[in-house]
Amino acid sequence: MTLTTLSSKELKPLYNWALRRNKVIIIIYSAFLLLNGPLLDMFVMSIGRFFDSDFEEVGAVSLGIYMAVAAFFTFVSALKTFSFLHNKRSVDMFGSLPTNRTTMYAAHLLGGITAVTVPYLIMSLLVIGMTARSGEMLKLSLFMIGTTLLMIIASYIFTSLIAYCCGTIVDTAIVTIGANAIWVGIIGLYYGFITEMIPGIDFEAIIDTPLLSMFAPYGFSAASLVYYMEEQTGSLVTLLVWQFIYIAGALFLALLAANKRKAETSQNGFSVKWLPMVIKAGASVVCGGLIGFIAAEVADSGYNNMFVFCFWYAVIGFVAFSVLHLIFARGLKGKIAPSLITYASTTAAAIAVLFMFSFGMGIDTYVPSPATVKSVTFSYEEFKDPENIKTITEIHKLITEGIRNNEEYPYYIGNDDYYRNDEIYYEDSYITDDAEAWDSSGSGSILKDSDYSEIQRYYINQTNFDFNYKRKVGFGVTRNYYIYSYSNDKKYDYSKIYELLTKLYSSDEYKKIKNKELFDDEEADKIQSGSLTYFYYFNDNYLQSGEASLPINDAFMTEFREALRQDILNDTKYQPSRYFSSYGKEAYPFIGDTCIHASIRYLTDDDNSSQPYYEYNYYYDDYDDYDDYHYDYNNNTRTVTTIIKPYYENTLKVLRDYQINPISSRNYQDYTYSYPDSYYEFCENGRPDTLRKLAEDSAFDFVSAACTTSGANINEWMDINYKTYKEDLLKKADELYKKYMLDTETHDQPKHSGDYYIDNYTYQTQADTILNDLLGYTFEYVELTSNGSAVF
Amino acid sequence: MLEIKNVTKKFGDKVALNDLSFKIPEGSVFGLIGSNGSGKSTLLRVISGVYEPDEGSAEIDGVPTYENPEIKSQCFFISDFPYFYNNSTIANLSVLYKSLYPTWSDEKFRRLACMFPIGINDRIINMSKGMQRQAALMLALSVTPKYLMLDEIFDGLDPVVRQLIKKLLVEMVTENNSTIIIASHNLRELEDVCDHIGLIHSGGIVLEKELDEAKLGIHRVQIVFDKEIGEGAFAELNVVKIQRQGKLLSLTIKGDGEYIEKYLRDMKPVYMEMLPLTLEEVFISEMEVVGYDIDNIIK
Repeated sequence: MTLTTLSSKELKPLYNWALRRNKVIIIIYSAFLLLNGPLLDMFVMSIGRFFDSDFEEVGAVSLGIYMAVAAFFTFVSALKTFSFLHNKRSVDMFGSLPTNRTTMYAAHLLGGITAVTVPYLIMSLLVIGMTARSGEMLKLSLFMIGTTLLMIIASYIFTSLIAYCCGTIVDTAIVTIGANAIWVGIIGLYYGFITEMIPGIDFEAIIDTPLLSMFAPYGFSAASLVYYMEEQTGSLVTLLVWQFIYIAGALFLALLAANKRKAETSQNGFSVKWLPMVIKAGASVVCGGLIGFIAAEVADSGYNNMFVFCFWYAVIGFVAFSVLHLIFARGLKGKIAPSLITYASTTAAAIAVLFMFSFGMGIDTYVPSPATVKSVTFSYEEFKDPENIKTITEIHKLITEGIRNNEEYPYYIGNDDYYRNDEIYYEDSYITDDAEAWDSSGSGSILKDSDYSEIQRYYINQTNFDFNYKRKVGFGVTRNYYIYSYSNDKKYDYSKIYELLTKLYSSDEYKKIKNKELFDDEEADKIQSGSLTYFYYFNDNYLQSGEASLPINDAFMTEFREALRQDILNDTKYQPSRYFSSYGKEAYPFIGDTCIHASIRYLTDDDNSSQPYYEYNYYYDDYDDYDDYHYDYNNNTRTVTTIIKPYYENTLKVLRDYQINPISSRNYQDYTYSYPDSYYEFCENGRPDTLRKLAEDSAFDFVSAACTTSGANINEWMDINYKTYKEDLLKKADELYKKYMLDTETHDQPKHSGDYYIDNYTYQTQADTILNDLLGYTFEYVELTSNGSAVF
Repeated sequence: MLEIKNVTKKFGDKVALNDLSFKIPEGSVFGLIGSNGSGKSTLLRVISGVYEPDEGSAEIDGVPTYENPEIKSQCFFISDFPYFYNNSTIANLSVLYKSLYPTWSDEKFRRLACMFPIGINDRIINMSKGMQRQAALMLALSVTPKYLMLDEIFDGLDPVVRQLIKKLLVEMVTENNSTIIIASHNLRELEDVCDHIGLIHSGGIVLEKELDEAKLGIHRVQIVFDKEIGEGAFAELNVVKIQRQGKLLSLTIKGDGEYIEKYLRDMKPVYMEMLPLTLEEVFISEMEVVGYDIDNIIK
């Protein structure tokens, strides 16, 4: 469409004529836009006051409807505008007018687009006016208006192109809808097949909105909306660039079709002969593929599913093909033989592709070369260090090699093992006696739940490994594996994977990623104040949690941060702090040692009006309820949870200097199973000799905790002080018995309070108080006796 | 001068126009006649630039009409079923044509609006077939094109309007030296208005002449002999058809009239009369020559 065309004197009258043709559509369209745009927004604005947090989402839905109305009327208007091509009488009239075909096309296209865009812009101005009070909504409105205009232009041109390729308005409508739907359907099926059959490919991770809408212009603004809502701005730019390229390409083809179209095609089949065949073949692939896919899923009988698929694909594909053939040929007039050959060859090709997928096509074993990778997100953390990228690719390779050794190869439809299902993730769990079995979940740390049962079995979940590679050039690669680790088969070399994971988690980069508040100065600068919220000891046998709110001053915070930073960097056996129990003979030697688990909640100066910051700090309430998350919605608080290990000398010294130790926050309400038996006996009988036994049983654990905090060498301390300490501890226990257990008036019988009657243990509250005091006594005792001189 | 140069037009396997060539002189009213499906309408569409010929071209003053706005602005085509949108009126179509045709005449439009018994603001789609043709013709005549192509223009018109239209067409030729091409099966009306005819059959031109010349080139003779005369007696004449009723022979003979009359008189007939042919008779005779006659159709 050249400038000569646009400036030709025939353009204007024909443009006006095209506009006049759309008069009725403009009126109805404007009414719909008014209902779905400004009026719907008024409704959204009103409910937005009540559901403020969902405001943007509700707004996006209303804009989505608004956009759908625009898409529908674009379709209707384009059909009507170019219907002059589909009637012999109108072809005679327009064909004989003194103008060339390019001008004729340009006038109708511009007139039609004007008819759809001008009402849209006018109503959109009202929408903008109404949403202006909300910055986010205004931004979203402007964005959607822009992208919807692109959608209108692209779809109008696309429909005009199809109109020039078809002989009738019905064929134009069918082909336009069909071409859009078939493209989306084929891409969806492609994703469906590879994600269902090939391990590692996760549908949600790879589903590519631009690709889905690539040749389906009516989906352009929907794709843009998805990208906007997901805030994938980089991809959005690519999407918009593609849309412009598409518009240019479609316009070129439409002009070509306008100039090449034979006028006699009107009411007489297709001017592009191969078009109906393509649509018929595409429809048979999509319909047959979809029904075959569902049938194979339902069948669920292993590799036979592939044959179930083929049967249903062939049947439904034939039905879809035949129906369209009858429509396009207006009965059985068309040539049947070429159609049957097309159907047969399409079916054969589709089934061949399916069976190729079952052998992986190299996708299942593909691991990007480390040199080509810019960064990789592995189980939620993004690594950029080339050495770590290399380690991750090696882990990836070990997994892909293991998959090929799987008895389920070649792959088939309906193998549930291959894809992730969050329900299964939390509900399907396995018990194994294999001490070497391990689990990697969440952010990738290796877990062992040694306290699951009396017989020391290991509670193992299915294991997932997520890889998301960003390449230096070109497309990214995303793989999510969901592999079983509970059995002892030889599918995966766990020890090698385990070794590589240890190496990865010991890297400085990982430590810095996991401790942003420690290593990222920008993050640290946001901190205004802090408090110690969780602060307790734990080890395998002595597991206690405490909740407190100890305000910490700036000086402590600065020193603590610096000390912890140094200790973490020096830690050659680092593991993330999120989990309180770990497993690994070599990598995690502190198992059995007493560590301090500390959570520090910082108040930052983050802007509250920005996107809410969701800090979700999850832990297990108990072992039967693994999906009980605890969310912290405060948008300006950050919680740093860390484990202070026995060899974190700098950190422990700061704690000592500031006289901050876990004793002040400890209580015994959780994890009752970790108490010695004497604790429960005392709770029931309240006898002084039982309390003595409880004190004796707890003595070592108390000392262990106190030595860790004070920096004392536990072995040396035990040799020198333990005997005396135990005697003193028993005396202290007797004193506390009198203080808490005997009636203050009679001093001769235990108190019995119904107020403290908990879980059948009459004296539990008193027992907890006494144990708390005994632990405090031990800390003071160790502090005094070690005199700060003992070292590791 | 409008010239059809070796035009071939195919619709799939069917050849609608087959290497067609002839010229239409300027200022003439050219009657395009032919059997059903002979290619008349196709030829008009090729001339008016609706169809692109597969081979050859339709040229006006040596310039092809197809995709040539300048040339097409001198042409106007009314198809056998003129098209109007649902909301078209003569008034709003006049706006379109006025903008597209530089030769549009408002004065003529107003004059024609008074002449034809139809409202210019009425929706054309609601009008009768004949009125729709009148509407199309009103607009066409207002354009005053140099070349006017009319396909079955007399269909559905009452005799008075037919007379009016014929009058207006002749007036247009006289005033503007326009060339009018009328494709029609209504040979009686064509005979009144045309000065040239072209006979098309199976995509080829059978005859292209001035009407009078065409009519003079073929003769019907009724003749009676007092003796039995075999058909071989007319071997030297170009006899198209012989019909026998007792002793009365009806002969359709092509050729020079004087020669035919002398030849037959020399055969000493008891009775002989040479009768003039109507255009319809000329058409039938010519079509019989190419094998298109009722006997062949019945067979």
